[in-house]
Amino acid sequence: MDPLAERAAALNFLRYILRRLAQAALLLGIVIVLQFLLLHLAPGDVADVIAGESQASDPAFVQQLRSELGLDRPLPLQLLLHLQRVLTLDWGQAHSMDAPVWQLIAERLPGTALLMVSALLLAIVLGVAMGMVAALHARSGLDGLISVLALLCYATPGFLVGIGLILVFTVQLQWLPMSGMSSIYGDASWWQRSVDTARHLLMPMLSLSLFYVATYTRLMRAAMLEVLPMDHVRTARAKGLGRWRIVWHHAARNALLPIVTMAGLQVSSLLGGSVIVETIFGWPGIGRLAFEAVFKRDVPLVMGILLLSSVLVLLVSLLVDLIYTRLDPRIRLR
Amino acid sequence: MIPLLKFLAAALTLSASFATLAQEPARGGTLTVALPTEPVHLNSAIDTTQQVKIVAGKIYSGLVKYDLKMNMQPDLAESWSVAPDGRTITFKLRKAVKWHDGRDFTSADVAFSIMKGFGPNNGLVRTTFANVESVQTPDSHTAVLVMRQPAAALMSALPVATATILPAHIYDNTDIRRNPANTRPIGTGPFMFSEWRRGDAIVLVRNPNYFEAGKPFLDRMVFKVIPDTQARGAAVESGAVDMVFHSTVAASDARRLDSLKNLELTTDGYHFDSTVSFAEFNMQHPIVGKREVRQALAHAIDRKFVLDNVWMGFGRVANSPVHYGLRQAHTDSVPQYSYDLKRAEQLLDEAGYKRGANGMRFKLTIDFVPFGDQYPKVAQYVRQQFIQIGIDADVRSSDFATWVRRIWTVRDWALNLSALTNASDPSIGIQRAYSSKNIVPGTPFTNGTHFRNADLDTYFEQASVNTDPAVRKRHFAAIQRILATELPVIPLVAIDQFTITNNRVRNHATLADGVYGGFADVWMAPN
Amino acid sequence: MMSTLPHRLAKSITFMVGAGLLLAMLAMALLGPWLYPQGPWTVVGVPMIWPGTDAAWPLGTDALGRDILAGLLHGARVSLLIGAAATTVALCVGIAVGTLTGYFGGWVDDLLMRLTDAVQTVPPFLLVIVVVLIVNPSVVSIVGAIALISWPTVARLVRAEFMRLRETDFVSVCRLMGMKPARIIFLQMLPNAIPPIVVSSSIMVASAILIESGLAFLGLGDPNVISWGTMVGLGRSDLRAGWYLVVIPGLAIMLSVLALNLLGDGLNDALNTRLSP
Repeated sequence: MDPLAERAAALNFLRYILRRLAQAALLLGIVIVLQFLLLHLAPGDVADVIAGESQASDPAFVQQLRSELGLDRPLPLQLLLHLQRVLTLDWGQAHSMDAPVWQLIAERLPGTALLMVSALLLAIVLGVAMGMVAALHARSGLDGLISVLALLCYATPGFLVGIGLILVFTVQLQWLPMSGMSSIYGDASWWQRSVDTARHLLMPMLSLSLFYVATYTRLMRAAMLEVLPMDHVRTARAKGLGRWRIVWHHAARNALLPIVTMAGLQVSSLLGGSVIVETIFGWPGIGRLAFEAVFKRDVPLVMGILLLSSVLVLLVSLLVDLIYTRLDPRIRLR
Repeated sequence: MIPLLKFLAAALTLSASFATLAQEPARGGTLTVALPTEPVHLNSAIDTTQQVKIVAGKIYSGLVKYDLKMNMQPDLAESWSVAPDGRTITFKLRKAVKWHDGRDFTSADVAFSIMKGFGPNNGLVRTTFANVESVQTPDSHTAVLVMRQPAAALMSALPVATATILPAHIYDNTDIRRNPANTRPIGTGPFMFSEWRRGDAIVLVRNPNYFEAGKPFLDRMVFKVIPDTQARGAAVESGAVDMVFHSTVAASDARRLDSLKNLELTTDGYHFDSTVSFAEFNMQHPIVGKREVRQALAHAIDRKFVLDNVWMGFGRVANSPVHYGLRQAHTDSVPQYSYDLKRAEQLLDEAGYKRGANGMRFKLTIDFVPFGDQYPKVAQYVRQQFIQIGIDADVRSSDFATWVRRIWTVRDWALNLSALTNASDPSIGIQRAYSSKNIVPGTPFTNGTHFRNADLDTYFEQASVNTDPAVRKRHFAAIQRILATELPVIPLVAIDQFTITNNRVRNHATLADGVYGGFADVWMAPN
Repeated sequence: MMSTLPHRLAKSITFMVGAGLLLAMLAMALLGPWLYPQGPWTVVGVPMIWPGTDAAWPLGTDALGRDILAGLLHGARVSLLIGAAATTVALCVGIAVGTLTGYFGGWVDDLLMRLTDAVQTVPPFLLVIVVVLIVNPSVVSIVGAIALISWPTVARLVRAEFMRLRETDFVSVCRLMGMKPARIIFLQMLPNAIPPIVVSSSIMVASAILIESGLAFLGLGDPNVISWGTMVGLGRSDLRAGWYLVVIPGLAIMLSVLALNLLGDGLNDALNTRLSP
């Protein structure tokens, strides 16, 4: 490309990114305010929870708690304070747990990340495999069977899958641990820890990922069906060149874009879905943390988690868009 | 020949089992306990939730312990004496006790803990210890409590769970709620804090300098956070944890687990819990505020059914909010209300609430404490029963904060299903709920019904300062009769909490505070 | 040969199976009050009877002695109603927003799309939990919360359709003729946007049923009605004593979701063949 055109393209790209970031920031602002208002609509506050949980019956105690936590100030003031803190990246102290919000979230983030990424990868791998088989045997009984199987995975509620797995693998066979992320307390080698974590990860990962298998099955199947009748594929096959290589090469290229886009869109759904899976399996992640935090009316903690989730979703969507433009030169940046 | 062999075999087996009985505690091992909720921090002086108490009780010590027969045993205090007028209690403290950071334990720690530690901050025993005017420390191993008035319940509030002795050198002149030692505690107990993996587990290790020589027997304790009820049951069944405490597996599971060879269930060690569940009424409600209506409703609930099917038989039908385990106070000679639907309907008719055209008499909303699996079930059961006698009842489900605010502040409720722990003495656990002096809007677990009865108040006050057990028993009996007649509350079940352990775990229920104690005597038999 | 819509639907296996299953579910819902007029809450027998062991209670009883079959039939009504209601509300709001943004564009489009984006940024299930907890669990709050997370998809769908339709010839002609926007929208454009809406409605009902069951599982269901999700939530605490408590309603949920998806797929195939040349 001629250097002037290249420069123009690069500038265009930069402008696009900046614009998207600005949009994202605005969006985030709206989201924060809406979430704050929503949470404050709730009757009862965390002082009630803390006092209630410890069966403490002292009024001065409760009032003291309330003023310490700043809960008796007027709402607009609380919102402004909150916004100010968010902007300075001070996410505050969790009311219901004795630690700063960011620390609690940071501690749980690796757990959720591990669970979500592995579940997504598994869903993609399974989906791709099933989709390929279905496409290669299109419109046959096998194709129908795979469709139904994928649909069953989608239709079965996540908690049923989780509970079923526990009943079989923990209770009956006693092969897999059913709770937490690790069972090692003390010294152990890196390998031992990894194996231990993997054993704990297996069932939650499966429970979370099955729901998403159907989507990738369809995407891969559709992508392959587009590719199979193409001229150069047919020619290559006629020439006897490695059938699998060609099919795979072209189909994969074709499917990559939709799969990446879909994965990006599903991050939001995965975060929500992790709540149930993390609860069943006692997995230390932010899904479960969010549920507990809402239950305890711990506004700073809930805000922190919702904020983080929103940021994540926005970042992923921006990333997906960027990858999209890179992968598909037909799309021009608006 | 053969009979001789049989005899020898029998003799050998018999002696083997005797040997097991007289077995020496084995040293070492890790005891894993399932925690239903992750604690916020580990300072039981300012927090009385189960999950804090169970961990803190191993790290800290109290002044005394109680065995299952409620005899006082030394803990940090070697001996004690109460003055005849009940206004002075002198504790002689153990010598050569060290905090986990190596500093010496002295009477200054006791003084601090009572006057600035749990005294003002422990919601459950704050009023009990408010009677302490000062703590004198004539020497570093003597602490003298000077009371404004005798506090009959104070002695039973001294174990570690309610009277946690904190290190003055770490907590004095700091904000007790924000002190970092709350999450990395330094105590005098048999176990030291080692590690806290958030969301996962808390690990404690053996204190090699514990003041009871040779103890603890265990090397390590792990408290694993398992929020799901089913997961806890499966964990103790498979051996992933060795202990679940405070009835934190489903009661239906508990019976089944008890029948397994490798598990044991006990209800010992919950004396200081003594929880009774009940249905209480808002005395200011236009309908249930009338005694006749309440008495009618009492006939509509089959408490045996609730005991058998919701609590799976773990407990006894309660006729009084005082737990039957509190022998110094409990009585059953109170007016009782048999399960009789016809009588219930008759009483409602007499109270002026006849069935209307649609068969219903009036509407009623049932609230319940959103804690545990039992109360939603009780709520559904009670609702069905009420519908049968013509009350258009529905159940309202709230989260904890809303429920607390509704019952004690907003007060737009009629009937509330909940439970209250007696602690070790009705003066601590029950007085707060029914004394009209304790009507405090905004504060949970105060007198939420707004029940007022001058006689009751007097009896309570006298019982709390009178140290004569016979006198107290009479007062409590009178209190229970008043409560059963006026019926601001329909007691349901006096709950027996249970602990399920792997049968390798020994000596975990030898103290009255059971799992909430130090576990210095606990050991695990080898496989 | 001109194949009509009903013809194509009848030939589509997916549609027929889906429709069949759904009809079965509806039949369950209708039969419930007729076969079990006393409702699903009445204590009828000994607790924890296993299915198939006692003819009087073919699917057994739960922890308080209530008939599981009664619960299943009554629960069908509630679960399906909640799914349908949530979807209806979501459709109303989504169609309204989509119409406004798709037809008018400009600042209306910008504003409403920002709002839509904001709602979609929060992980849906988390938002549902927050809303339900705040407003206290009840059928109304659950329906509202599910509708809240579902309308953005509908809005985008309608918007896309409208933006496409706006540029077509016949709409341009209508505008040139001076037809009022309302007439154009309701008489010309909406009817054409119906097919994708119908397809996605089916999926939305399925997803609403799944979400409701998830909420109930976490203990956030309405305590006064029994839905399949409620049964799962109630049965969860006695799971080890009787896994049928969770599995039976769980299977019902699965079959409904399956049915609705098959229905949607069948409709999609049938409707799309008509649209494409």
